[in-house]
Amino acid sequence: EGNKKEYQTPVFEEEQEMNFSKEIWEEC
Amino acid sequence: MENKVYALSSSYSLFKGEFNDIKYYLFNIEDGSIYRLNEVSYDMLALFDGKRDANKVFTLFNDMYQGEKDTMMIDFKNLLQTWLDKEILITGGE
Repeated sequence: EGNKKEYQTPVFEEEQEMNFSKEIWEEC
Repeated sequence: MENKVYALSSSYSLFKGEFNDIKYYLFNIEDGSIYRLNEVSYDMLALFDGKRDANKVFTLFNDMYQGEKDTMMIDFKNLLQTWLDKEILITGGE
């Protein structure tokens, strides 16, 4: 029990103002 | 809980980055959309490896966290359904 993390409500939200670019990632 | 096996779609990539604090994201590497996660949802999604079935994933997830099991089960099922609806998780594996 001592090794367990404290449970919190899981978050899953789409970011409306940010996108991901594979090109930028591979090479704000 | 079902005994189907799911894996993260190849269109998506999980990301954990250490900025001022730790941030958790899910990227759609095809259309560029980004989903914000927290440690709980990140851990949950990372457990779907295409080998374990959903029952086993929940057992492992439940072992990682201290909380109300019924609440965790409801959250788990809701997120699993969301990820299946969005085709973030796909059926498959061994």
